[in-house]
Amino acid sequence: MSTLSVGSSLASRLARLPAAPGARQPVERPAQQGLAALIPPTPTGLGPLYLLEAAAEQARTLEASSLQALALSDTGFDASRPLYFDTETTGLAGGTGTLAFLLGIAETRGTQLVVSQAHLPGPGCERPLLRWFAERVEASTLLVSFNGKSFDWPLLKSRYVMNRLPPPPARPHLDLLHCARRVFRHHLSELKLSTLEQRVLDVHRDDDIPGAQIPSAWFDYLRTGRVAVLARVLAHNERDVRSMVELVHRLAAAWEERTALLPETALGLATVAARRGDQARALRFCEQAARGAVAAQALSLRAELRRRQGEYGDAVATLHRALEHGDGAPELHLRLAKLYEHRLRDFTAAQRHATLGAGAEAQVSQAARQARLARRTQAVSVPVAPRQARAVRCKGCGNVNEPCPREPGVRHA
Amino acid sequence: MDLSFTRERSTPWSGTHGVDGLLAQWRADPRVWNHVVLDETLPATSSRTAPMPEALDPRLRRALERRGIARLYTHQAEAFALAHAGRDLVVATPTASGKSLCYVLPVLQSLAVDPQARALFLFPTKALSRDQEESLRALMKEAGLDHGAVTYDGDTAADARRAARDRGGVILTNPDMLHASVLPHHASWARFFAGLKYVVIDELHAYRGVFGSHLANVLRRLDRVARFHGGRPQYLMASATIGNPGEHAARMLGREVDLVGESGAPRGQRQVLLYNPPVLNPELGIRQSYVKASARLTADLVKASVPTLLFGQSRNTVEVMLKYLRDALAQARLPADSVMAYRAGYLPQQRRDIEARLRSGEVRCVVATSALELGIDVGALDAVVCAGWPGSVAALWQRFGRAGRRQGTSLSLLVTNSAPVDQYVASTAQALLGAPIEHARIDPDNVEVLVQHLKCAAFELPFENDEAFREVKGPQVKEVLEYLSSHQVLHQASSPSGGSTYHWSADAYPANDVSLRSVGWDNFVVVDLSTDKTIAEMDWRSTHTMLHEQAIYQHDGRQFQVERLDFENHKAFVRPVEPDYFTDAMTHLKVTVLSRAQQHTEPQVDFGAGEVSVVERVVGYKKIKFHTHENVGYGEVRLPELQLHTTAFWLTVPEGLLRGLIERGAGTRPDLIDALAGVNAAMHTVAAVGLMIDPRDLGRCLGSRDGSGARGQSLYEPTLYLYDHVPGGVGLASRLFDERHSLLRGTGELLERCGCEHGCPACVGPATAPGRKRLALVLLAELVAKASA
Repeated sequence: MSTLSVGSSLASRLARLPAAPGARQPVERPAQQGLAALIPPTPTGLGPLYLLEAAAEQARTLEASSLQALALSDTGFDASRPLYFDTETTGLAGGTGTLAFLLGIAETRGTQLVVSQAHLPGPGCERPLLRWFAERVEASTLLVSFNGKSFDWPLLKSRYVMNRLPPPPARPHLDLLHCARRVFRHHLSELKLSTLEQRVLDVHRDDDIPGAQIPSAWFDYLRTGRVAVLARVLAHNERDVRSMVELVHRLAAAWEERTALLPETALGLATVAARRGDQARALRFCEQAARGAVAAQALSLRAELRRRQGEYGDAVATLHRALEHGDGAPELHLRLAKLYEHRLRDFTAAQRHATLGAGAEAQVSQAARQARLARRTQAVSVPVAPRQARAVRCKGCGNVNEPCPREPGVRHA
Repeated sequence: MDLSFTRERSTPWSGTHGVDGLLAQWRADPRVWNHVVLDETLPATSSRTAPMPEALDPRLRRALERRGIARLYTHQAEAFALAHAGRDLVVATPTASGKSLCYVLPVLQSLAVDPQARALFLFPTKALSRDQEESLRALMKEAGLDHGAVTYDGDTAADARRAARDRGGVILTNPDMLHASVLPHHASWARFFAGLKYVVIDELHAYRGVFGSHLANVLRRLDRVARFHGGRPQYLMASATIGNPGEHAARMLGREVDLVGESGAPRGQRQVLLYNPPVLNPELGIRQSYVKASARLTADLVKASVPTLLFGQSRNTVEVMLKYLRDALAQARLPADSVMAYRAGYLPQQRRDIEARLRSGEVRCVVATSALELGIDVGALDAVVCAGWPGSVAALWQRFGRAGRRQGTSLSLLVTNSAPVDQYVASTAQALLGAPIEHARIDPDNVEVLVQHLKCAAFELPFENDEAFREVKGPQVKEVLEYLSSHQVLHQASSPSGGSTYHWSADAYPANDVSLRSVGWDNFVVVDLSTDKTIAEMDWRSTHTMLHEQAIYQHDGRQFQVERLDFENHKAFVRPVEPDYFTDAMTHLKVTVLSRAQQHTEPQVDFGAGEVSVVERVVGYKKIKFHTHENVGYGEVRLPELQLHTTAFWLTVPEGLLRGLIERGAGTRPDLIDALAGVNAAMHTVAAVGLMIDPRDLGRCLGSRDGSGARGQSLYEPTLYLYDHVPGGVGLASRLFDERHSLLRGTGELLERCGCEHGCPACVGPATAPGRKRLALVLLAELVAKASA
């Protein structure tokens, strides 16, 4: 059945195929001994493991509840033995043809924090590395990564399937990409680990290998046995792991209000706190954020928090402060209109703000609002005392007459 | 089940009623009947059934009984028994004979007895899988099976994908998705592949040519991946009428497959007609519009309240016929929505709606392109009209299969147009019923295709030394792997066992570079600058001749001029115009033989087949006036040349033969060369019909033996080339070589049978000189005599 087309030999037909993009002339491959010089192999039952251990440093403790809050996670974290991990891969496309050729971790051993890196000697020799990593996961209580939830972890998991090894046990997973995105979104447009390093940690790398060159470093090593570029990849990976450790501690310290914050960062943290239902902390972060470029946004959030607490007068006052900063005026006016009409029952003020807020709602709704306010200002000639809300305060989150952020769907009224 | 069609319906108008009445009316009308070139009756067949198989799970048996199915048709019972015995099988019975139950029952049986069992269903289109998902779920629910049946395609949301991977008992998808999304991520599908019991391939006939060759390779990869996870799937396939279902299925799987070919479903009597519209201009071979003729005849059917399906060749003709039909019905005071168009993009609910309205008689006619061919069920109708030859006998029967009631007469009508192939069919109408049904051909070992899939396979799992790729032997696989290693796509590492292992070693996702539906061609989009909307897509091959700058591009009955062709980004920008001319691109084509694989030097005629390089360049265009067809100007075109490495069949006319004819005074050398171009055209037509291919799949060229000259220049040893239009070829050339004698004979017969005087589009092409056809016949006679001497 497998005659190959019209007679002529397969080899001659192959020769006529267009060259693959980036095709090079075949080169002789020297034996791959260079890696052993860089990383001495350790024999294991599954083959040699190329493991490099860097100098240990003093481990700092982490508050599990802070990390859990930053991760917006409902599962309980145990931060006593975190395992930071980061892979360098042969490509970003994923799929079973993509390998993790370098795996760097940081873990606590007693009072020490140890960074270690395992490197593949070649394709088809993954089992010692995978077994080693599974043991490290087993010994840990929490995984920490940067974009590991959608990239590194699934990729590693499929390597276990491909190598017919049991996968590592499940652990809670703190993905710093998502945390950092929430906290730093107000002043960082791109959220790469290297950007965070420079802008947040103020760490600047010299001679760092660009991420895009990492796969070719591996392929070049495979073909030539040269390890000079791999040494740069090792350094890059170690930096990444250490930056993750640093970033976690910075984030935890910020959340625990142990450091001075940029207004933008304070606003990011305020948003996280508000989503966690931690009203008091959210208000404190809002105060810190209510200056500089994000003041209007911070005050707007503060007003919303105060409104949820039933402090309508203060909510209105905060909105007026926000208006002084100029941003998002129509939307702020509309919120003022609603508060004046429904809470403070000052229909004239409501009318004024409704007109100014016309741009923030659909024409139909605006018309209905104006008509209703016109009726109400006619009917109420004498100003009456503001209606007292029958406030029901949630003991858990402090919200008044509002859905509880901790238990979605529950309303405390 | 379709009894609603046989009920008498009251009609709000008087006149002819039903198929029999209308046939009588047409027979009495010379305007119709004079142009009917085929009128045949196919007798009715009765039903044959078998008891429910003993092994069938009682829950399934009860679910079927609740649907009124107490016995199976014989082919359904046979398929169940074969599947139960662990065989791979292909069911090839007519349309609407209950084919899907042939594969659904074994699959549901396996799910019923084994909770770990999984099945994969492949359909050529998304719409089909959505349709099947619905009916499969319904049956599973009735049988109390709680395995999910999930469609997995580009529209499936991320969450649903995860659920499908982890819990789906049956995954319904298409080959493209399997190729680009499932196989390269097979580690996430480990449980699915481990339990994979059945792979169902419906519409097997749709996978022919290059597409089929790709699928065969995707299945090679599927087998390999499934085996890695411990699965050994059995294949259940279903095909519409083709000449070689068993062989085609076996080639697809690379192993023996059992054929279930005898249908047990009943069929009523069928009348088959071929209507060839009258000739308007015998010189140019122009006939009355087949679109108008089809619409008129269909209008007769609708007025006689015969539920009818009208097939058009393209979306455009469907739109035009719909308009003509509605106009005709408006005169008869019938509501416009008694005729509906049926488009590929309809949602299941819209289709259900049309089906229901057809049954109720509210809709009397559905106009469609080929969407319905692919198994979408509007039930059986009383009449099918095919406007234009659908490309093959097999496709014709697939469309005709839609007409056929369990009792009473149904009508199948083909209306031919003035295209060469259509006229060839019309001129051989009497042979149509007995005509052998074309074979579906694939060439899974086509090197271009094979290499691409070996890349994908190596990405999925490393290749061990001497590992075979299903039926491709180890040494051949190794040759390709070595080639890929030398291009740094694979890395060769020594394995513990001492041999080599080939690992994927590139920063790429190879499946993204392989499109199953064609090799190496990419579509261009046509953008209307006046509205900034995309109005059409065109395949790369046609771009050069249809979308060069200044070309008049015709779409939906409107004319546009191409203002800019953005070659890099595959976009053509056009603006509506109302010119009194259209454009016709002039191309320069050159074929050069690279290697001769097959050669046969007859006493005086050289036949050959092998690899060629085809270089095509558009050099300019002619402006041709509408209606008068006067040439009113020229323009130049600058476009990169198209180069194609492919396989070709050729025939060289010896210099001696030409000289002899000139000496005998048969004609001048230019006359003879012109006649050879005519022979080439006719041969192309005969070859396309014989190979069951779209005529556009085969290119033709008249050149020199050594490729030095091309049309228009003086040719030494003129050579007729017929070449595969797919890079690398799909094996058409070697078949033509094997069939060279019947090809020559068939070409002569085509010319003799054609009623034109000097040549027409149906045979040697429109005559530029009066002697073209006569000279072509002389040449053919000489060639036949020399070739068989």
